[in-house]
Amino acid sequence: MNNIFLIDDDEDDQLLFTDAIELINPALQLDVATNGKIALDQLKVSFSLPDIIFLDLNMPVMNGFEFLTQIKKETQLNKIPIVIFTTSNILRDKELTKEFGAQYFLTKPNNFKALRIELQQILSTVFASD
Amino acid sequence: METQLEANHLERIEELENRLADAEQLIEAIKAGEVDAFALRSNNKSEVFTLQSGDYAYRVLVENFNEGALNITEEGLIVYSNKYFHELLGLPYEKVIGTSLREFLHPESIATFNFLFSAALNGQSKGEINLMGAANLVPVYISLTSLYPQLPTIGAIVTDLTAKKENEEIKIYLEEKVKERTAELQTKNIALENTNAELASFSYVASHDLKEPLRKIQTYSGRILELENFSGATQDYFNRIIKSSERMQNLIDSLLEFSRANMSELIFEPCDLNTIVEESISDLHLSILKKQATIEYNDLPTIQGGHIQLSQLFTNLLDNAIKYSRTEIKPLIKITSSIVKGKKIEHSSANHQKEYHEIKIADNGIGFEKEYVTKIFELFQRLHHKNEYSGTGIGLAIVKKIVGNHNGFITADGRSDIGSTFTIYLPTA
Repeated sequence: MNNIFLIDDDEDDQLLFTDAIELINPALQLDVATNGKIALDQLKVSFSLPDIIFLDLNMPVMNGFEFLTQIKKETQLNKIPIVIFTTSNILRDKELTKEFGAQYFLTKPNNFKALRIELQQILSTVFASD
Repeated sequence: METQLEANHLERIEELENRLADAEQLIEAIKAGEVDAFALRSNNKSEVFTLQSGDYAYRVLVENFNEGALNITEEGLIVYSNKYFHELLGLPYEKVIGTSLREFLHPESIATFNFLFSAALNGQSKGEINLMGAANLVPVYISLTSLYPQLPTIGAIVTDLTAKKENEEIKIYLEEKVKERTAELQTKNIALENTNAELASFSYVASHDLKEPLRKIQTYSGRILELENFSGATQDYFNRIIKSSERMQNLIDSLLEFSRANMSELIFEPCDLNTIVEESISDLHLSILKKQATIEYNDLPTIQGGHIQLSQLFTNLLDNAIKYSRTEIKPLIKITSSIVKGKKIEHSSANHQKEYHEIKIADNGIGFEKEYVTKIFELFQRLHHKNEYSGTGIGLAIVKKIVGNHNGFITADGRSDIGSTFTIYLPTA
């Protein structure tokens, strides 16, 4: 079954994200890390790599941009598709993260239903191409 | 011998006749007042004789001079003072005559006076000194002239500088005041600029950070509604929570927009208003379709401005016109433009030296009462209940701010149930 890795320091967003994934498919595996550094350390020693990473931009210790820069250097990890999952909807952020190697950009919606639908779309696109 | 004597007599007579003629001529001249003084040589020395009648005019002149006039001996004693001078000191004539001028000097002026006086003994000198009057200090300008060799004295003309000094003092005082006030204003200006910048960043940060918890409230409420099977009433309450949060979100978004409509983010470039209106129409595509609105415009000018802000300006105004339309009639909005002279515009912000683009946005909507003409541009002003018409009361405040950013001004004119006209004035150069 598919593995999902969420990197986000916001507890509410972790909870809602988990909830939405659960509703989409209870069989999906979800791991959570609260900043880029923890995530990177975890990924480097992991036996089963995630199929997709959801990455918040604004985090302590190591933010999303730094994480993108670091993971690009890891030959084992730099093929994993990355979805930016942030409150920002600034065009500059969208363009910049694309340059940094992120494939998708999902602005955290203020509507649970919208979150679920958008997540479902992204997951089905990514997993279909597996 | 006799003829020789006779000839001598004749010569003598002729000489005497000539002298007599000269003397008669002189007497005639003196009678006619043509002579003030004459010099006679006696003992190999010229002596000047003045005539009372000739003197008289000068005495009157000097006595009534609107300056102080003095005659001072080489020791400094005042032997003549005109009326003006002793009045200037506020002393009677007797106290001045026969007194040394030095007695009327302010102690600080003694050195200057001594210098001027010794210089005057050999010719002339001029300078400013302070005299001590009966009641107060009198600043004067004194001009000293040696009257030697005609007289063994020094003439002095004394000009009162009191008024001039007072004026100078007032001028200095005023200049200092102006400097003070300018400095104060500059300080206040800097403080104001800082406050403005702080306020702008505050409202930006505040609205940005306000959005986070609000998003959570909305998402959790939605989640709960999806998860549980609630009674009709509970569902209704939750929907109301969601509606309120949405409304708050709109407010925050508008506030963000308002704080973004800043001068600092404005880059002036040529903007074709036809293109800008076109863009606004495409932004409002959905609501135009929904209300079946018609927007007419042509030959709008190209102006210097910020593209994004101008775009927002027209979008807000058009959005407003569509939103506040009458239910029984399809919205019709006309945008027209012309050039007017500043002095023809009845508005306190109009610069009479300038020319303006007068851009009118007229609709056939619900209009508004005259009394709201200025109020509608204020932040959070709503003329209608929020259930009647949606809106945050920020749109027109943004419009006004953007027009101001472009050195222009905006007026509104409306009639209930007939329509509104917003007129934007932007300087042509």
